[in-house]
Amino acid sequence: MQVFSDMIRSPDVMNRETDPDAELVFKAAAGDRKAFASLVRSHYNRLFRLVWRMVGSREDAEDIVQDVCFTLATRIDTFRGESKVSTWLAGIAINAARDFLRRRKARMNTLEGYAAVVNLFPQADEHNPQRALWLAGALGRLKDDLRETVILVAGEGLSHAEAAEVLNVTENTVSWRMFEARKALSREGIAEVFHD
Amino acid sequence: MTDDREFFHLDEPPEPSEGALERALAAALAGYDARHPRKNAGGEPPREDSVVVSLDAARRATKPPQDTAEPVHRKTGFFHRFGNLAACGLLVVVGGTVALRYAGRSNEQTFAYVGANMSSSRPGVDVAAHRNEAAVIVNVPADAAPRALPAANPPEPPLPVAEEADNAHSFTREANSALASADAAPLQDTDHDPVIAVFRDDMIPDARLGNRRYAFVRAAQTVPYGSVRLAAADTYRRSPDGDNPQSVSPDGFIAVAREPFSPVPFEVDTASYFALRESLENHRLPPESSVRTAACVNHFSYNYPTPASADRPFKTTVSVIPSPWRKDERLLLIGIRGYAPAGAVNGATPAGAPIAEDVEVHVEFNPGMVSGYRLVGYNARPPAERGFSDDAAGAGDIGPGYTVTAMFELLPASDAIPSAVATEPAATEYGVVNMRYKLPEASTATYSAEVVTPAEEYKTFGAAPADARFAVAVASFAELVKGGKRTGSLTFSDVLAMAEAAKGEDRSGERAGFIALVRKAQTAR
Repeated sequence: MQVFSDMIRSPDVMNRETDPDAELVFKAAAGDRKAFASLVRSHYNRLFRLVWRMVGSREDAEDIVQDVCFTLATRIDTFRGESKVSTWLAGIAINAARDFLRRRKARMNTLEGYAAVVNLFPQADEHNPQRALWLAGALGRLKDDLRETVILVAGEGLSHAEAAEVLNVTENTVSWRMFEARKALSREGIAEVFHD
Repeated sequence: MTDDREFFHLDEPPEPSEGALERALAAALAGYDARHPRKNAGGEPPREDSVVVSLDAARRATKPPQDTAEPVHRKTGFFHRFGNLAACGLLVVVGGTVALRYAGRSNEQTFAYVGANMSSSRPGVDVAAHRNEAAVIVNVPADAAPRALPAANPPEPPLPVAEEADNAHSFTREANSALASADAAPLQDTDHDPVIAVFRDDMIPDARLGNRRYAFVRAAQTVPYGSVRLAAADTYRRSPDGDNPQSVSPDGFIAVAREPFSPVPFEVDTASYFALRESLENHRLPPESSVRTAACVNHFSYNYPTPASADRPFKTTVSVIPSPWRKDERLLLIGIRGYAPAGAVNGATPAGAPIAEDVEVHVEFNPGMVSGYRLVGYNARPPAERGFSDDAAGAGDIGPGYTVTAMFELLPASDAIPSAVATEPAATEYGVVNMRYKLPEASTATYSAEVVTPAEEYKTFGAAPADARFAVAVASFAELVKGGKRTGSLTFSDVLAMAEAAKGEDRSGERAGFIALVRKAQTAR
């Protein structure tokens, strides 16, 4: 039996009670393969939605989430129970998507150089209408930091405090970014930005 | 802000494509399985000096395009990351030849299928020959010197060579896509160490690729479960890292996700049983290390079905039974009996003309059904010199009526691999026992395969054939004499009950002799 003061102090005990997924993570870390599979299954769609909103392509989102799932296998025992499992996973997914975007940017820069020499590489996303839509849509027009914040708060329903945890910024920053994003996306806001 | 959702009104994403979840799950489970035993081993730091990558698990996790015109670049993403995972020290060993071996941190290797639709525009390359191969593309520092493969590796078949720089332009579309998906600027990518210290000297330089080189990897490593059956059996080789403790859990189980293949010892020296018997006749337990479980099991004869003709001189009998040693574990018994013409001596000592030579046997486990296995009577691995080597020195002529029994402990997969990943015929198979041998006077090898299906599974120990139960009794006995580390709460009395119930006709009286021996062991010290 755990004494009451320990329960207050121990984040994983607290979480086991409030977050049913925490139990799954601890079981998986202890070697319960079924718990691990169940965790992946139940979070896949949510992670896919989050990552898709970051990158705007179904194929890339699938690859990234697959990677996230694999990463999860190697990091399952690093979950400390200090946040909700869904928040923790959102953080891993955001990082993977950021990494992807960074790589894509670097690749595009270099590929342009290659393509000048050998015209072999298909232009990026030339047959990807989904991505074109995404670029034209609200998210595509936002700056990276604003977009991430909007995806977490408006898309995933995280509180500003939770989003702050995922993004490793203060709660105030999240609130400020949300305000900026609203401003940028409202018609007037866009006009303002242009006239500034 | 409660109205954030309304205000931003984000587009809903498309549905993930069919099988995407299953692929992700399979990849995740592959990682989980590969890591789990290591974690149990006491948090050993990942070994980064030797990364062995095989494509089998990767291929299983991500289905290659088959006869389609679909570009493969999005499929290669996974392999690319697989390479990075290797850099994290994840040892991915999945039976078959070592594809690549790097010293130092490795990353950025990219695997791409050379699919069925491989471009035929590459002159001088037999496209069909590479149908199931993978292009492996690695970054090589400009000043690195190629290093020969470790001597343990068998020679690879000659690789296709990019004859002239011009030909490089007609390199396949798939490979181009793979390149496109590889980071084109790894040297500027500060997050990753761009250097691979060792590359194979048979890798092919390509002026267009800068520091990259590529090689093809043979089909045997790249085919999914079940496809290795016949023709590719002889290309299977134990990986030099097969004895690496990282592949083996603390209690001696090998992870199927890493090594789905196990050799099956075909020639077993049974002499040590006599020493055990003599010792117990004198009421003494022999030294633990002198007892050979496989020798004891194979000292006895079993009434396996006999092959009908000399053309197919071996018959394999398999049974899967609940293990009396460990809850949830199963035992796979493989009994192989050789052809015996009428009048030939029946039994372990061959007489008369040989029925076959150079016999090699291996079993491939289905990761959808089995998560780990252990060959009973060996320390994790059978001796390396038994079969599966080029010289196959141990496997000589096999006499008529030759019989051998092998036993594996199996840990069932707790969660079946999703059906999209488990290849169709394989959803419920435990594995396949592959044999390769030469008939006398034949110049080429013959192959046979016995699939271990649920039809061979017995739900209770008592329902299993008497031969199987007796073999388990003998193995249990040997293990108990050795200290009983693997047999759970089993006692000599249990062995006695098992053996008595499995005695059968026992015309030679050898099983009765065994029962008497168990009684002696109960009182020996």
